[in-house]
Amino acid sequence: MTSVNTSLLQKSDGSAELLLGSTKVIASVTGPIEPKARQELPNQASLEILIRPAVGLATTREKLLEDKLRSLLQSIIVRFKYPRQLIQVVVQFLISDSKRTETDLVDYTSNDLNAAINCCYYALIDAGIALKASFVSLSIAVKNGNLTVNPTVYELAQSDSHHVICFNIEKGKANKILLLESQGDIKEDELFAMISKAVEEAEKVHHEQQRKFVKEKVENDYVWKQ
Amino acid sequence: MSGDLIIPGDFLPIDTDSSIKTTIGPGIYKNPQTQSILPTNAGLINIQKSKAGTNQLVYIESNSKRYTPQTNDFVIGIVTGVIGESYKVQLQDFSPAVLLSMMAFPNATKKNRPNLKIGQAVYARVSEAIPEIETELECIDPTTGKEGGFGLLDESGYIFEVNLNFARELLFNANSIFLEKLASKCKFEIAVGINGKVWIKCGEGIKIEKDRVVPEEGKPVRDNTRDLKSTLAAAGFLVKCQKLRVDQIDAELQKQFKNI
Amino acid sequence: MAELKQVSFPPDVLARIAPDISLHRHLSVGLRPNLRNFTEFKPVDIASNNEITDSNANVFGSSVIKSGSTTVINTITLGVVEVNRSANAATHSNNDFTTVYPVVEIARGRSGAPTDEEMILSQTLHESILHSRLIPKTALSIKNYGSAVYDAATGKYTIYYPDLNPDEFELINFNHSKSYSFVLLSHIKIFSKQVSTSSLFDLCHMSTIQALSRLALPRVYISDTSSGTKVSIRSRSSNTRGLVGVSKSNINLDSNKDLYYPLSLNGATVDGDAMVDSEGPFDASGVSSNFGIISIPEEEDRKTVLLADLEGEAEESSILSRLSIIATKDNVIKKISLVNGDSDSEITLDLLKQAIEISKIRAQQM
Repeated sequence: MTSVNTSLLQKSDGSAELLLGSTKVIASVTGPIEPKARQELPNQASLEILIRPAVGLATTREKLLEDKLRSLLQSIIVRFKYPRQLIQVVVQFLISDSKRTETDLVDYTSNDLNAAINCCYYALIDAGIALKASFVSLSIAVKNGNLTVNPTVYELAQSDSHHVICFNIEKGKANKILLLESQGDIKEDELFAMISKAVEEAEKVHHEQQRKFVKEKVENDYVWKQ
Repeated sequence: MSGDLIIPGDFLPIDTDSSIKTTIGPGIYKNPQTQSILPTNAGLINIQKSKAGTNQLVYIESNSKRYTPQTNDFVIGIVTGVIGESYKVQLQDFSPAVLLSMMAFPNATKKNRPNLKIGQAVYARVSEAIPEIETELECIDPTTGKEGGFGLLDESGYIFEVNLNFARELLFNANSIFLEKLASKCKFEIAVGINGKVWIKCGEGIKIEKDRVVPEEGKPVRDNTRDLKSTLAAAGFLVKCQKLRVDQIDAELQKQFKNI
Repeated sequence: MAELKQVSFPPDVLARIAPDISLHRHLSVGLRPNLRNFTEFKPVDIASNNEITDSNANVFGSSVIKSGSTTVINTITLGVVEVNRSANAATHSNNDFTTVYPVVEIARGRSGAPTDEEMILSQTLHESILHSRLIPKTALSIKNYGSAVYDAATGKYTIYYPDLNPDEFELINFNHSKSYSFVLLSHIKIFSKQVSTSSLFDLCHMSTIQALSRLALPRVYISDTSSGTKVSIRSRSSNTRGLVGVSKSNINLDSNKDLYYPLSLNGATVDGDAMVDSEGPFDASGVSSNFGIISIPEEEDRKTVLLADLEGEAEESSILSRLSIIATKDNVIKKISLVNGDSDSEITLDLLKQAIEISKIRAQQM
């Protein structure tokens, strides 16, 4: 169950709302804009990434998510196209299944990271920021060698290992791993089996969802065209 | 091949024959290290080939809200300050300020300077846009050296913002129906900046009280409120048009001008 | 027009003004700026004495690690929290593990709010120890807490434990039904930081594991403060209107070192009071290793190389494709964190395999 809604924030240059499983997140992109003096890089764009949780204030948990998101986005955005400029990405979680106070479950950040990455893709597309390629992220839980894509927090708690894997999509093919965060008890053969299955899944998501949502967005932008 | 959806990472369907000279436009990036050409935006691909087949032009038509200056663009900017011999002009909120030299006006000399105040709007041409250095504007038509429609925009006009793709439609598409439709309702002056700012003025516009001419005796008192209403309705109409299909436009026009 | 002259810089100046060029030049002759081999790790010294723990009553586990000039001092203190018994542990094993709460501090000659680097290190450590399923919740839950009994004749308190003094304990009117658990607070101080952030994580991880393996948990007893005044509370929720006696009971740690018991980590066997020496502290937890991948121009082609244990500004600023692996010697990987930050130096699956292999060998040698 995935739904995407773009251009919903009037004041930002690009925005997207993504519902993925039981995680709902909204991302806004502003830029390229004038940076503060300390952020300015002479030959490429600097990135400012802010993540706000669904409940309460941002903590070190969000700092770590920001760091992971930054390492991904700085490699996928064509930063040399915007020297001396700033691109600001704000991710606000609306519903997050990982921080539940009513249960005693441990905190899993993988679904949050996964949703944030995918939502940023649509927000960056909406803002018209130059990207080197498309990217698709998947959250995967592995239990006895079986994969569950987009697991619930309960499935995560039952799993042997859990992964967030983000692929670079070029010419319709997932041709390289941009980011991989794996935790738990991972066996090497299981890991590589997971990666090859994730490649298929990511290509499916790209063709069946990403293209569809981006097409809808572009059609909406040119609705007035005869 | 034109008009199809293309997204970043897709295959760029251009002729890669080395004898054909390729010109790339918005949405296309050339990697300086590998010299490869790739699409970087999601939009509609446009490929145009010259008749002789020796040149091709490729760009992606896409919508965005943030404007990046390009040489020869016509823009509307707001004067926000003075640095030395130049005005600081803001093309969009939070975008880096661009410079408008005081010498870049027709007949300007060291002694005869233009007199712009902070907060005033100008219609100008981007004379130099290199990302690494500050962008410069000028208010002279480069072919004639005359004013050519550039310069200070009258304060009785109303400035509003539209998406960049819609601004391009208004400025470049000679067959665009929106302004024609609008002309059926009121008389107006318009300046479209490609940076998404539009200045419009119907009749006398939104003239402020002190400018109002005291009517001569015997003549009817001219009512400014009608012009004010028309100006706002015209702006509202154009903003709304961005989200409407062609067949909905007439209804919207009637709705905006209902009480005028 | 002035003629442009070629300027040459001594190597140390070039390394500062153009770290990427300096790095490429080193690598093309088969050397790293720190003079290590490509896949050679920086040696790590683990202090064998337990002085910090012995000399500080509030420190229950500690470790000192040195790698080059970088020194990591880790001390573990304890907190006690009440746990909700009704929270059913029926879900699954993943939920039966807990973690440490680390605070990483990098000494930089001034105090202030924690930097992003410190926060990220702390949080990564917190999450990776949780997900490597190292510390079972049961190992931290406090069983058999004792009671301090005031002896009016001697004017002293004596502590009785249900398992150690069953006879005496039976006589005590002890009705304390709450359950408690320890919380591990780890304070990591880093001095003379010289290595990269990813290497720093490896050191922090290693020092935390080392400190945990040496951790000795004290006994806990409860003493009723008889001096506590009775506070009247008008209870609305219950029907018992009127005075409700609140006797404040204090939870104390018994500083009798003879009664300390080691923390049983998951996977490590506990034999009597001490860990079996043949099992190293890193067997269950694994050893964290980090790698950088960079492609260097070589004649007409580019060669992609794997560098282990990044160090120095040149490597940290110019290598953006990074890999961090926690592997155990039993071929289990606990954590992989991979970022392909540089499109020219892609981490292929072969390089990933190679890095996993190196990490395993390193885990076996630790």
